[in-house]
Amino acid sequence: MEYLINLAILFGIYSMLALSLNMLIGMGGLVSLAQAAFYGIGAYATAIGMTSLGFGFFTTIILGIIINAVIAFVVGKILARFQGDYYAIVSAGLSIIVFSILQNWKSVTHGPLGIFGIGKPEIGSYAFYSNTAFLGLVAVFTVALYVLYQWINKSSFGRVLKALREDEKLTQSMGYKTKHYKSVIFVLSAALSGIAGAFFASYIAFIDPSSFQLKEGIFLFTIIIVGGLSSALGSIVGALILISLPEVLRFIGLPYETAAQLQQMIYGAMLLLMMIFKPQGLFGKYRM
Amino acid sequence: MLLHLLLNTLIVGAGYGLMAMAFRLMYSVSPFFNMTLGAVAALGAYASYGLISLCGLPMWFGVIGAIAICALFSYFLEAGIYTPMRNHGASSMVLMVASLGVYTIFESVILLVFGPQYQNLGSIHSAVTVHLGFASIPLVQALTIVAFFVCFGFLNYLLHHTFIGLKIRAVNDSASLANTIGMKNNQIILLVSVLTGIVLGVDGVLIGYDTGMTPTMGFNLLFKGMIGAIIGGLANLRGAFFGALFLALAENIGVLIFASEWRDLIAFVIFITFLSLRPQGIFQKKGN
Repeated sequence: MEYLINLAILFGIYSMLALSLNMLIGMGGLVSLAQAAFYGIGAYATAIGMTSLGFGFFTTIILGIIINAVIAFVVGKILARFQGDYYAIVSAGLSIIVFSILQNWKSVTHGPLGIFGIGKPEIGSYAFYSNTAFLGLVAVFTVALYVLYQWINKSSFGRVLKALREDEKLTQSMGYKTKHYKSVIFVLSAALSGIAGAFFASYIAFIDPSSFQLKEGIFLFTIIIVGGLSSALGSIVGALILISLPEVLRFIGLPYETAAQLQQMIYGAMLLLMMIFKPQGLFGKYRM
Repeated sequence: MLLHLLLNTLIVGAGYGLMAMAFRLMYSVSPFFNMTLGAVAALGAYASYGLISLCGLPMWFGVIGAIAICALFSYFLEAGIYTPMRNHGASSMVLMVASLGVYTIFESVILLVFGPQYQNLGSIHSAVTVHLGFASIPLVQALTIVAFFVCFGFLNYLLHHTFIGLKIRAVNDSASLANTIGMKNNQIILLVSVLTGIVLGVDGVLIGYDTGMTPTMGFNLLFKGMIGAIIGGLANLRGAFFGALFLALAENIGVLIFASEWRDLIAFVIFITFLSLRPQGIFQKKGN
């Protein structure tokens, strides 16, 4: 049971990440490989906030959102100049820059040693120490994000985003400042993925930069490619499939190292096969 | 001091430059960010390691064998995956994501076969040095510089003074027009993929001898080569040549001022700065 709850918590965290990334890639058509960077910044905001600064968990969530929003606002201004595959490559570069800072700014992040002893969330005198309670909290945030996704998707803001995804120049000619829209969705997506980072840091209680490399960004991208672009349901299904895969491989009884490599191989094969046969993903509504 | 800086720039730049020229050559006929170029270069290093250190073949035989394997691998990737996808109308973004999938598969295969640890080819050969008056460098570094200039000269000659080169440039200028007048674009792309594979094989083998190899070396090298090619401007081969040298110089100066762990960050900051302020690169005129 404990094992299933652990899996469910990870599934919740990755669903939040997938939903926030799908707002950017699916709705906005902006293929970003930098999501792991904002996930990491959120996690580090919680880790540093709770251990060195003595803040509570929920304060650090807000701190993470603010930091991510400020960084994403500046970075988004740079990214808004690019389209298509250039956007993807520049965002990959940004992810490597953030990783390099987490790894080498040792006085703040402790570098590769990471940060230990990150606490659990508390409301009043109640602390979410048990995994079941923690799962409840993750579930509340995941559902809230799902509802937010659907709400944005139906709003006029979401419709303009989808229009600019299909034809940016045409949308501009109708009077919409598309750069502004691209910037807003980037900031929103970055801020929301910071929440997932906060939960990850608190749940695992130890973080180091290796969890937030470009590789992780590509993994998140794989989740929504498999599940489906521009689909809230697809984000959830993609997270479920990719989070369960390592467990299935472990269930077969492969040695740890072999299973880890086989898992990577299957992720790669999924990306390739999806691109050949179904570039929009299982439940996708948008084709790159 | 200055001479040492310039010499080191030439050594580092030559390693990046071979990749940059390969990237630019492939991009000119197949314009997408091909992540598998990194895999081909890494294969060069691992294939020579396998043939020489594991199978005990003579050194020159192993080196030539490894380069041939790279050419074949590059050919099969193009013929087996990218050409069919392109013929079915895949966009450059879809091709890029597919190549990311192939790269992920490749890296996990290397990890399964050779393990995650650092491997070295060159402990014996690095003892041979070349004296330059003010400094002496290992033979393999001198060979890297020679290979850089020879490849540049050869590719320039091929592109600008032969009929095949004319065809390659025609596909670069307008693929659809070249197709209309009866040129077999796919054959030209396949030919270029073999050429690219050879250049990448040379690069991979030399790096394997100089700094050794890890399963992730391909991605890092690819990014450095790509940055070199893009900041030089993708219009011609000269851009890749000087762009890679410029990147190496900027990195080396940055490392002198800050510290060597910031090397990657410096490279990506230069990349993003260039793309934002001068997206056409050093050598291309605006609006071209």
